[in-house]
Amino acid sequence: MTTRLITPELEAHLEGLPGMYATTASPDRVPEVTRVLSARAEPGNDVLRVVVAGDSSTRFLECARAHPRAALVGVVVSTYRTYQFKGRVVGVEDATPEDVAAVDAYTAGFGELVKHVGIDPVRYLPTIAVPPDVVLRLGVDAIFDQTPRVGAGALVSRAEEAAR
Amino acid sequence: MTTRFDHIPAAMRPAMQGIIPTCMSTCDLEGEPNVTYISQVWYVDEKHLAISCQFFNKTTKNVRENPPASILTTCPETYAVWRVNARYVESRLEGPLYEEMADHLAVIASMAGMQDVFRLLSADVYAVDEVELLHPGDPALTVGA
Repeated sequence: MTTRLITPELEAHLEGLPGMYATTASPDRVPEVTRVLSARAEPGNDVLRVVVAGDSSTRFLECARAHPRAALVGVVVSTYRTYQFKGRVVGVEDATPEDVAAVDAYTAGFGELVKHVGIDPVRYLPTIAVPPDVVLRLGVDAIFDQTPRVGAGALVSRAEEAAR
Repeated sequence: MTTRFDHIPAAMRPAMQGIIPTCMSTCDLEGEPNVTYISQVWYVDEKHLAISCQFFNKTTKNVRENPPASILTTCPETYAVWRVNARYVESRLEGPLYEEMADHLAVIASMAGMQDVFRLLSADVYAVDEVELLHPGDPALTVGA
């Protein structure tokens, strides 16, 4: 029996509207970071669907195709709870209508969050509204707790441990 | 369309206030990328910036082995988004840059209620190779408006 790395607690973290970024790296080890528009686990496995805007993620996606390792970090701004998901790029594909709907839901929820820090979402959201057209499928094989504190970066779980 | 610079333009400097957390990625010698939040990006001069090194050990290790880094920062006034491609140069453990960053970090820590967690270990200086304006934001916006 295989145990999933992305536990219900971590799924809840992703659904808690964290601010998210992802990175890839070229074969000669030059990293490229980009903003993530939404990320959610595929049902029943440890693959994350990471939605990005293709026009501002050109090199990020080139790296993903040439050197298939990637990482995603997400922080819930109200609690600073932070996790990093690392793994293998198992695909780069066009966003589906479900992915676009996930981005719309995430953006609307994030707009509610920013209200609490004095930002008008009606004026703010258009500045981050970019076409969510590309999905990087990230096969997660390690998860780290990066909540800011002494000892940040501790391993939460790794694939071979989950498969015991 | 992305606008590119070979230096830090004046318009980017408000994005280096530390109000909206900055994100930074690095890569180790085995080719494993790493991404983390950082508390502070500091303007040094048009071709250099500094990052506060507190406890992000993997990032620290990576850039000392493999200097390239990719940094994404957001202006808290206009929400313009900038990406910087840079290379680690050196760590400063004392001097005016270190002292200024330590003082500013204390302010950020106080705002975040993390005075006991945020402690500046070093001011890590990076040479800027390229700056991209990914999103121009809205110049009419100000925080709290």
